[in-house]
Amino acid sequence: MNPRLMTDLNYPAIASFILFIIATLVITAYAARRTRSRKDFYVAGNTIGGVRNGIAISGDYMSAASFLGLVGLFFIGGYDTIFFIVNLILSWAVVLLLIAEKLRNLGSYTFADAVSVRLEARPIRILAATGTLAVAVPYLLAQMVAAGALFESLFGLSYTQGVLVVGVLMTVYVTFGGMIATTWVQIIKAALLVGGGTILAIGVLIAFSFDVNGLAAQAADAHPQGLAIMQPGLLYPDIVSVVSLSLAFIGGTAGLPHVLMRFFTVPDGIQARRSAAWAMGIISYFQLLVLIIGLGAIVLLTDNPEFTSGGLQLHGGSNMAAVHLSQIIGGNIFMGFICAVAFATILAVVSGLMLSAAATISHDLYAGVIHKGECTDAEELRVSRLTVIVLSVIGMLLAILFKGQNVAVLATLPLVIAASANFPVLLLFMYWKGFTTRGAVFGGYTGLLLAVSLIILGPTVWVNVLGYAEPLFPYSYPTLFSMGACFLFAWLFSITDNSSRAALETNAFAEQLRRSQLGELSLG
Amino acid sequence: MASQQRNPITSAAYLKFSRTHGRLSRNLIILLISLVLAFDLLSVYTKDFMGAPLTGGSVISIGMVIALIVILVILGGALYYVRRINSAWRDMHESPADD
Repeated sequence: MNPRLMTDLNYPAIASFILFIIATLVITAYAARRTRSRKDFYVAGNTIGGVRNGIAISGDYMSAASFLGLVGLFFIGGYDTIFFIVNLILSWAVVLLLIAEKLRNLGSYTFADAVSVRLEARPIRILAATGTLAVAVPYLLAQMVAAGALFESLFGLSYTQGVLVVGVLMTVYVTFGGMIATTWVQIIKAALLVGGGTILAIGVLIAFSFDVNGLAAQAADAHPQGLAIMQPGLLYPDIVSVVSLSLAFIGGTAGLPHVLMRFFTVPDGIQARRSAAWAMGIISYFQLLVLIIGLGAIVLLTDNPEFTSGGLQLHGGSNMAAVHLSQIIGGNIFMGFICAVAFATILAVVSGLMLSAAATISHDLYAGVIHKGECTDAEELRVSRLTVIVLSVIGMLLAILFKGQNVAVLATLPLVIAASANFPVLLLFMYWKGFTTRGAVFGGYTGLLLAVSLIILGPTVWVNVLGYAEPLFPYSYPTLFSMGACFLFAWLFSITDNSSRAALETNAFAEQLRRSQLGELSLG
Repeated sequence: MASQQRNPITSAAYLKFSRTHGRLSRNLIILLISLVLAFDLLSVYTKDFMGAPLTGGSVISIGMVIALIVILVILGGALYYVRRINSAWRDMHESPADD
């Protein structure tokens, strides 16, 4: 950790962060007055326009990993970071072309609502809730652990105090403001993140007289790997790793419950399509900035004694590359702003995650499974708010327990689980007539269990966390196997399902397809 | 949203929209995934080619430029899809009623 960061308070960061908190709390107070029903709480009463929702989705999706993590990865591995960027952008094309509009037209609050239009509600809701919590809890934990560590290093607070600040703010936003407040937190965060990233990238370009080739040449000179950073193979040398990574992004994005939930906030399928297109544009633009920022970080930070202990060994780890670079480009004030953006990023993402987790517990499990849909609006809303508070307390306690743990696994798990369990079920339900409840249940649980097991046996947990010399499973991303198994089992258990329920589900596909394209409109 | 207040949609118009929608999204997604998969395969199996400098005086590699082109094709494809489907949606609502 940078000793200077540990001892000196970063006043610009504190001021920027306090401004963000004040603005978002004012919005939460406004949103609380407008949140009266469960529809307002879960999906802002379907009143968010396509453009606003697109910006909010980008704010929800671009986590600290998208910014700090990818810049840090480029700083270490160069070219191979492009696999992340290309696949991340492709994943949004998948959401736009295959998922967004149909999901909005079929569902109400959670993606289980959509899938249970044709398939049996009870097992589907339990599966969806399991998948949602398996994604949301580790993702939430990863963000909170990162927030605690950042607070500790920059604000002079203890790790525990940092976790408590983030946890309490998240609880206030979601409990009182529901989806309306969460949406605005995400919109403000997206604007700050894209603005901050743009200024940083422009600052780098100005420092190198807008000569991108010169910047790249100096990066290759400065980096210990030399020209190899412009070539593939430093991080992912084999095809299984690359394809698994691709599938994790392609399916993961389209299976993240907090991202899917955002498509229910718009009034119709057209706005859902517009949302996805805007989100894709904003996220793509931001990912391209990462390349410029990454090149700048390599040139200005490698071997810089102020920020490294030699070579690429950055104070605070490689994730601090963007923060350190911002100090070089714009001094303490700009670094303070970038730090505040990082915290805003964490807050916006945890709020979205918390809302999706609360919705699946209160709507899918409590109202859908326990009360079989016979639950009043007010009761479900009360349970949702209570769930947020309970989950927040659990999240804060776990984050305190996980202090100092390697959070890479917590960041890897959600994407792989979403790609291996949620995405195949959603895709097959939307596009395959023969898909049945039995196929969904066997496929979904197989994908989920295999994803978790292979991550534990792989290098991320087996070597980096548990300390064994060799992993039992050689790949960090097991998506090729876990997603493949989910599709295989879903297909196998669907085609061998000869029940009367399966026949009904097959026959209902035509109506589902019509509704997925037209929504509530009827044929004349 | 104004489009939803127009005349009821005819079965023929819906079928035409459904076919256009299905064909376009299927073809585009196959094209885009194939492109990215091709990029992945080229990066893994032709490292020397993908890592070669674009020109004599440049360090930016051919692979990086190909990645940029792939990204632009994905964005262009998405834009085309949105415009085409919005246009098909309008056509569906404006088509004359069945006799």
